[in-house]
Amino acid sequence: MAESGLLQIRDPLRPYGKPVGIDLGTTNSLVAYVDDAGQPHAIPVSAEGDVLCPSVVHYLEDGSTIVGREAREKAATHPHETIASVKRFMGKGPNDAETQRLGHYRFAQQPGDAIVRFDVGSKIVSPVEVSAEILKHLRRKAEAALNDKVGGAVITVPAYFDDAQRQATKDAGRLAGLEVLRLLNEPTAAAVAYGLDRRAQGTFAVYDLGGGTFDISILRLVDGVFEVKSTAGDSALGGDDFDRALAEALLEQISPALGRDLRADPYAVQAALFAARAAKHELTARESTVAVLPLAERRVEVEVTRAQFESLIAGLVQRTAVACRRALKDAELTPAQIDGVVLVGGSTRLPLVRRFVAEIFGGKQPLGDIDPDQVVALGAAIQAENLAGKPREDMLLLDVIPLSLGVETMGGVVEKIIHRNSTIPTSAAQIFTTYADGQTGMDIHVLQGERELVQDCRSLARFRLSGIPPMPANMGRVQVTFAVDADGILSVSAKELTTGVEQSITVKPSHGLTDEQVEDMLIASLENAEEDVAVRLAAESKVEAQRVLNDLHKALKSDAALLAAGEREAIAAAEEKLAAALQTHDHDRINLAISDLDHASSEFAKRRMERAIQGALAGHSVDEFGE
Amino acid sequence: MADHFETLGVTPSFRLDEKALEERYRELTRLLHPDRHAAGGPTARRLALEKTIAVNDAFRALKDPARRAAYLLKLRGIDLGEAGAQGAGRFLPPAFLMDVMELREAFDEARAAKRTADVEKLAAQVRGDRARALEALGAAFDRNDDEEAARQLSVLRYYDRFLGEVRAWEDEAFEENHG
Repeated sequence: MAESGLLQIRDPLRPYGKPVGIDLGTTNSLVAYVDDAGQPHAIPVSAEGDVLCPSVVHYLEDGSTIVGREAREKAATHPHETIASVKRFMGKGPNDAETQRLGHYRFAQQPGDAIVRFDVGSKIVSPVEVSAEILKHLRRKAEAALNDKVGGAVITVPAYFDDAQRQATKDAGRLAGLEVLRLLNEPTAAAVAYGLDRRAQGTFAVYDLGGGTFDISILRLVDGVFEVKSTAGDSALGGDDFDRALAEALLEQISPALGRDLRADPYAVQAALFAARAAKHELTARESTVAVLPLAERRVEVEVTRAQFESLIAGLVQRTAVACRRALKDAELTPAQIDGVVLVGGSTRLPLVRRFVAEIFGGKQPLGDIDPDQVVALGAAIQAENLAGKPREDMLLLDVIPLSLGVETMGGVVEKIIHRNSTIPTSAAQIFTTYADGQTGMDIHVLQGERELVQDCRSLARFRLSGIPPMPANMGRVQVTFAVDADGILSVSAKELTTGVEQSITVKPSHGLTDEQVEDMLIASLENAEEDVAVRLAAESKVEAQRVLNDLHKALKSDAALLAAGEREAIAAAEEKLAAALQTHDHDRINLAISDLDHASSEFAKRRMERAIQGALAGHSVDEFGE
Repeated sequence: MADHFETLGVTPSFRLDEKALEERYRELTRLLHPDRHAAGGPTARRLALEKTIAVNDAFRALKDPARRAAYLLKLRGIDLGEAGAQGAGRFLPPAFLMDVMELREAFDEARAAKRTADVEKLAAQVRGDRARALEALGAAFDRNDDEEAARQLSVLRYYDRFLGEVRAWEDEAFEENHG
């Protein structure tokens, strides 16, 4: 076949830069990659070689940011300008319970706002923008350390994150200029790091207690396939809550002596949280410690014993048992049928947590020998390499949707359409009937959760269908298809069945940003960075073009026999047009040429896929066809 | 559009080798999963997503005997709906409904009095009844008696709903103790 020459521009093994895995954590974030020998490594993000980057963003007066340890050091003196634990606010609304908890944030809500916003002095920012600053920082550090471009990222999310939280994370990735290859559930990522390391087989429970979230996933590992059987959790329970419980107790204890309510003072709150976190770390290895609070009046020291601390957090740790039990029941397993328990997240270092996990899973000693802070990022790096680097033929991750999806029906009742723990990607179709003569529109309210009533579930979005052909009442039958992709994110399409007319859909996210808002933010951030917007957009399109060309050349090489008459010529013509477009910085032109090339080769792609399926159904093994 | 049996390439039947079905599912998934086509063009990625969704949905509908029975009956013109006991009433014999009412009364009493052991005993009894209904369901399919199959499936779903309520009650009690 005619080589276009484009392939020779870059190393064909990784033509688009280095894929990375990012653990965007509540307390700390990490970035990792896989080396040429196939080993995953966390990338140092500080001059001292630390791989943990505190997930803290400090905003300076000119609106620019400091991220990481330096930012965390600003928290004591600038509580409002410094945002920590932003993950807890991803996909949350202004009245969410999360905003009412002990904290040092200054919220700035505009009427009608669907999301939380922070007032950081120099500007008002959303959690998506704050997270994007952390991701940008990690990307820059990775590019400096690897001396290569970052070519796409797998970003991990708690398995129990709902649709709005996932979408917010994806938006943050996009805003940070990353190609988000996949959102990967944190426990699944940890299982990958463990499973591939040991070539393990069997049924495992991953107990992941991080800074702000708790997940439990039950997985089965067979021949490189990681099949999640069930997942459960609490997306607002983690080490932060332990800190807060101790901080509250400290503030309550000290307030009378100082004659004022310290909980109303953001500086005191910040000092107490800081002291509590330090005490928690100390108490992991020791029986008692001294919490030190540098307050405005004087420095206060309070002795804290491990027993005291454990009694403060025992109720919180107990709460994880509810999710563990549910995950086991949903997987139809008993604790005795679990072959091993993997511990993930910094909070699993606490002796109380370790004892508790051993007890829940029938005395099995949990595995924790891969650093629980790093294991998620390492797993994400392996999956990133699998998706955009050198794919591992034997590895496949099959995950599930953590919470049921439903639609609002008469009387404020939720009708479930996709049940929790269904393997993704998945879809469900529902038929809605028009109720008025000549009705041309329809509103569909989608919710996520297990409860029966609308008010007890989480509102995801309202989808407004329009363009239904006018018909008498009850005659219009609109089939709405809900599809959940491999990231666990929902999309909706609709078609009137009598006429076959597709409906256009406007999405109004309940706690998220619209596509236009993300686009605007992206353009604004590029303008701020004085980056050329056109060049940046063109660069993104060129990456996609390379991918399409690469894949097509591979396909033409192995399956030329499947080409129909004239097809090769049409493909070559479209390819030439794309090659010409790639000489420009016109991203619209490049995108159009990609789409034309894809169109010219789409029947060929379909035939290849069909042949592969027929091969599998005819009982051939996977290896007998393909290349 | 292909039906679920065609999607997985198996002969429509209630009796099928669940292990072979699972292997087939895995094999197709390895081939079609979006992760396998992440480096493909837009058409390949879209097809991968669509096909994987079809395979996942088909496997979910066929791997569980009760769902498989419902799907098979639907293909043969008896639509009992997706799940739950709605629409199944017309197949249930009056004597069964009497039994169910008694069972329900016993459950409500035990639940109200928080007699956990009694609830467990009832649940064990219903699990036994369910196993018998499943056997009768298979036998009805073997005789190509779709009406009887629909009846047994309706009975089985009634038991499942009961067991679901037992689980919800147990979950609630557990959560109260670990709130």
